[in-house]
Amino acid sequence: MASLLAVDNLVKKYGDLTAVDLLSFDVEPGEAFGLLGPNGAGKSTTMMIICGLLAPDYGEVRLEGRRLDRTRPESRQRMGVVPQDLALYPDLTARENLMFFASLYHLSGSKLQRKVDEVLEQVGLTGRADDFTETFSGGMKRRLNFAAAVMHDPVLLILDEPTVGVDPQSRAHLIECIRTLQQSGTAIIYASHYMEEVQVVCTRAAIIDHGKLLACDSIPQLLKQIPFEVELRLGQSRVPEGCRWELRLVLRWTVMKRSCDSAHRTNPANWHSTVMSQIF
Amino acid sequence: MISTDAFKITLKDLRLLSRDRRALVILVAMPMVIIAIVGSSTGRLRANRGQSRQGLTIEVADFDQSETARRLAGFLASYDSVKVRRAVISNRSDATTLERLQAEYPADEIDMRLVIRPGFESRIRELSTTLLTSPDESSRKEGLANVNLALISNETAADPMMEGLAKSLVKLSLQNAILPILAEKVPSFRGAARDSVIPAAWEQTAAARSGPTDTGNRVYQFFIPSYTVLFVFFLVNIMGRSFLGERDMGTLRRLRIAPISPVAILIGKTLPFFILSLVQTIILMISGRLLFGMSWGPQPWLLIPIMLCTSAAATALGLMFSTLAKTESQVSSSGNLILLSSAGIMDVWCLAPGCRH
Repeated sequence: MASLLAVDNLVKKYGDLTAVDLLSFDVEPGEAFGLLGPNGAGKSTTMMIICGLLAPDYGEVRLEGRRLDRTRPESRQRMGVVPQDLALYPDLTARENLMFFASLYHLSGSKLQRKVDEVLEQVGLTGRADDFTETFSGGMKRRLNFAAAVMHDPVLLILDEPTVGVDPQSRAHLIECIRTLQQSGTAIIYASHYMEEVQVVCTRAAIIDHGKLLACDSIPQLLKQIPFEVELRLGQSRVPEGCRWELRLVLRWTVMKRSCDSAHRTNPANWHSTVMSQIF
Repeated sequence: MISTDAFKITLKDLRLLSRDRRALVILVAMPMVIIAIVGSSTGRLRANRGQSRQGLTIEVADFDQSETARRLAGFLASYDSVKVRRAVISNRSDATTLERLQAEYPADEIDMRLVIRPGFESRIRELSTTLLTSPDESSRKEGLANVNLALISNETAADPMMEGLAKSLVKLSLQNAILPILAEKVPSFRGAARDSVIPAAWEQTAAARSGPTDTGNRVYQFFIPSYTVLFVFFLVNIMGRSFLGERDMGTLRRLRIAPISPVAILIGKTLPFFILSLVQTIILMISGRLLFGMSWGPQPWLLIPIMLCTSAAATALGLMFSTLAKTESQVSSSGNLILLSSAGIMDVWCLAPGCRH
């Protein structure tokens, strides 16, 4: 099957710092692909290159076989992006925000109206459609931020940490929306440092750090490398209940990162002590 | 395609601006209030509001009562948009009245006063033909005073262009008025003197017979355009805030990700402010006429290119600072600098009566 998105040997440097270092991966049509890595790993730079906001120093990105070119804006017509930061006009209503952003993707008339109603219902904001965005809660804004990116039915949706600062209820709602979209055939690139979210949303993931690809495999294969006994022991410790979920993610991530890096491969007992010392 | 995309962004920004009360107050309400305050401080806020004056009103005080003096006033009255009024003189040899009229500023409704002193015609006759006709300015350096004329401008007219215009018209009228005298001295002037149409005696013209002319509010002829241009440059701050806001809210990134060209984004972001500036100027000009009795001049359509150019200049300046400024404080400081500079250029600091004199 031909790749929907092909990222080929991307390199991006900021002075002496190499933010992306010969990064390559493919995304198949309808696939949910995760991009995992800690802060500063190069996820956002990679996303920005794919979106056309940055030009790579080397390498190229192809969508449906056609090279994505910053100078040809029309090449971004079939791509949707949910930026990490909210990107909405507070002085416009939810409906006006969606109509404006959708109109930039050449939707108009009754089709636009219908799509706005449909997407508002999908993200659970129908009742607040005509309220100004500035009156929305953080979670509602996140949902609207997501809605603005899917108005034009993109074949590829790029999400850059879409659940940052979102309450659990809205996070669950958003993840449900993403899953629904993916099931309807839209390919997804989901960048996050929450392994648990990637695990729920994606079927395959790439792990990057310092701009380099550490691993790229299906989620079950990646999870096989995580020592679950470490997680269980943590569950029995005196860590307060509310923090356990977050700690588990940190732990999983740290262990997985190390497990993928052959230079630091050690046995699970050593991982545990290393990880515990990093956490506490 | 670029124009369609730009139009969408323009519509969005116009909608946002229409909801920005602060911007509307700064751009439209504040200049009106300031014009009203400054206007009322000069005591002319309500004067002759229902009427508006166009052109120039000149009061002629003829102490010579000669044929040449009558011709001078007649030629002056023959110009379009010039209204000539006769000053009441009981006795042509009344030195007190002469001194008073030369010393006092004309009344509010009069722009300039031309005093024709006794001996005007005889002085003309005394002067050599070379001196009268020489194109060399140095030989006429004493100007009108050399021929027993005095031109006194209104204290609060605050319009140097009007003063210059009035002086030029007086000089042109003088050239026509003295043609018969020149013809007596130089035969070659006879043809010109014969061809020069002597206007009807100015005392019989409707303008001379009428009472005080429609004066409008001369002070607003200066205030409103000055403050309009000043407040047009407030656009720099508002435009900068909008561009920075777009950056801070992350929506600029979303615009750049959309399948539209950067040129469309630039045009779409700039055009609303040009339109806003134009609307602001139009509102101020209309309000100036309706509320303050300001005149649009004999050819109001000429205001259109002026308004377009002013708005274009303010928008271009706003665009430059919007792209250069990185923070709101940078926008504010650069905007204030521009405001102060434009205020200086528009001379709004020099409004006090007599300041120009």
